[in-house]
Amino acid sequence: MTKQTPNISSLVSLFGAILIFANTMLVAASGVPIIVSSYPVSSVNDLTTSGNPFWGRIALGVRGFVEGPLMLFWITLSTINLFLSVLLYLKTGKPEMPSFFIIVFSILSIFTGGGFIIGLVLGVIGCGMGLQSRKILTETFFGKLLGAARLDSKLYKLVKEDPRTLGEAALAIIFVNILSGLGSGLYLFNADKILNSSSSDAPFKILLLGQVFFDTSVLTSPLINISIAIFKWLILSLIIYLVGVKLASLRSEFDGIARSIAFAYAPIGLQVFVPLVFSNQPFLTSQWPMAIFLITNFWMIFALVVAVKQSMNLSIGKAMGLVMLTGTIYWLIIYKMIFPVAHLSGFDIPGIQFDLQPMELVLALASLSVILSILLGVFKRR
Amino acid sequence: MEDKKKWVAIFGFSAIALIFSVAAIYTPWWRVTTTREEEIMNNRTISSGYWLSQKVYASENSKVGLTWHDKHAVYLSGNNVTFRLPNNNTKIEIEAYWVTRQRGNQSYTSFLFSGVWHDFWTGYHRQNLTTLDDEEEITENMVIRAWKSLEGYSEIDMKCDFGTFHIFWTYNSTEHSNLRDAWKKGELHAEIGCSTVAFAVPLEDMPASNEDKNALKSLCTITLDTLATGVAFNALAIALTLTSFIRKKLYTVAKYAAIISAILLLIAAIYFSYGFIPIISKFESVTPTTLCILPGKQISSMWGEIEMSSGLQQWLWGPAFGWYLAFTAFLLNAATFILICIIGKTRR
Repeated sequence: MTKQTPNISSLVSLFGAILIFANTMLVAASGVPIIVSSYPVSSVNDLTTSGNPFWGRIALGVRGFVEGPLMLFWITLSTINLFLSVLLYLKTGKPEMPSFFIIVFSILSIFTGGGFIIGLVLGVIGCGMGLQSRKILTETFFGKLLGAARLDSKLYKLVKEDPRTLGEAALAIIFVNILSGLGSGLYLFNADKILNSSSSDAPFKILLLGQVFFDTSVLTSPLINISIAIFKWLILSLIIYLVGVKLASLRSEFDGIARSIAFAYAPIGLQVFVPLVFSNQPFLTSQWPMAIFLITNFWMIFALVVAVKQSMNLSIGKAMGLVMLTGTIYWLIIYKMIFPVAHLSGFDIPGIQFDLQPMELVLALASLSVILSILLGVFKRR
Repeated sequence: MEDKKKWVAIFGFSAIALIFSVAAIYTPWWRVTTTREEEIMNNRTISSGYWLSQKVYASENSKVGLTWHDKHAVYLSGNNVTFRLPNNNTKIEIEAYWVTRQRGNQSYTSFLFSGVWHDFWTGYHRQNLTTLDDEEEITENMVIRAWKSLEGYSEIDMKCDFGTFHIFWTYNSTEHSNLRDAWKKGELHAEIGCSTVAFAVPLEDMPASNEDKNALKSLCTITLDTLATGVAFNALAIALTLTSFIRKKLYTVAKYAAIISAILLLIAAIYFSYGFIPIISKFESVTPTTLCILPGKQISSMWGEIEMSSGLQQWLWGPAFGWYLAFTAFLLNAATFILICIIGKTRR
């Protein structure tokens, strides 16, 4: 394996550290979280009355964490982060230790705005790659996740052919679902406080003062998400394997398919950004989370097409047909059979779920997907 | 190439530290402000900042929101007072001119106040401001110029005897040139306001005993002296770093200058934070009395807050940007020192 110079990763993390440092100083200057909203409002009532245009706010910094002496801690942290990034860039020692701390500090910087969010992302990605600096960039875990999100066909081929990546594939599923679970858990918890709080205190604090309420119950969401995601991943891989290999007589191994599909989940991790924006109704409960949900899921479907194409050596049309068909079967099994049964047994699945009604429409769409997949040549012999 | 990178890193840390420590001289070190919730709920922001130059800069910003209008007037409300513009018959003698301008697809309406000003929301200022009562001064050109310079936001400063009176107004209606249509359709977002800004009160004029004022002056002087010495050492560290590009051995001297500067900056910050509160807590008011009275006995620590009856915060105080800058400059100088040490070690 060729050894790479960690210049790109260290440069990325240095840029992230500069942003985090600048953001922290900006919050120190204002003394309170910086709130950017689409237009000023004077009370929560202005937002809850119907017929208002879209109003949304982004808070750089979390209320309650930046007003007091804790600010000294954040400033120290962001300066050390900057210092470590410089050390990493100068290559003064082994990159593993500073990389690890930069990741931790970058994540903690969320309390002061996360370097306008971009800094946090760059810090984590840059140092995630830095942690595996003995590998070439695309062979690092974060490099693979980025490649998967970029729909890089070489990456999917590499994953399919290398059995050693099974651990990384499982790790990808876990990591992506921790992010997604945290995002949706935190958002739903605060949205619930806005909508169902008996006083106007909580909505006022969340919407206008930039406070984010947190509870240990928020952490259960990513934990449940992980187990469900692993289950869903195996089901999807199995369906694609059964339909593709056993039914359509294509050549591939189950574990190769499973590894490729795991990395196709990468875009779902972007759901961690859902709690960035809180808005007025109806955008709060439907449009905003649904927009992120749809964007990331459609992105994942495209990634899935590339993953299936590479893992089964198919044409793009055939891969699309196979994904359409297996996706429909998967959706029917998960959302129309397993989840309703789990719900009836008293087990509520957390997170945002996509449901279609009535059943006639579901069956019509399912039939349509079968026809389209046949037309796209899924069952055509080579 | 590698050496050049290291040199740039050391110089970068030192230079940022110098910028921060110099900026600390020209920014407030402690502040007390009303909170965002106070601003949202009561449409006002009051802020006082203590500078090492022995001055207290105070500001007030009060907002008035547009509530309703009819054919001839615009009704504004602020701090539980609703009034009508223009108004010729009541005590509030404020006239408003509003001009609608089309810019691209959007129309903007500008408001301009004139006449005798009575402070209708706080009652703190009773001065009559007549700077803008001359009809000739209020021309459309003035409004247009303001819009061009600050899109969607306009402001005019008026000088008066106690400071600068700062009027601002923002207004935009998304698609409609007609104010009434826009209002009815709920597409109107307006914010009209007025604030006093940046009037400085010397420590001499603050409501406190001479003994306390002298103690605070002495604290500011010692802190400023320590800070200035720290700045001097910081500048020396930079100069040595620059010359070390030619004579490499000067790195070693630069690191000692950096660490001395760091220690001095830290001492300045700590000394100020320990000495300030016992003195300020004896003041009759920590804000200039022209604004409002906040008794010093309420201030018991460097950071603190006063809550409203609803549990939300009303006043918030703590170190201001200057103090944070000094602290950060200490960290950056310490980082310079460590960086030079690490680089020296790797060279050996």
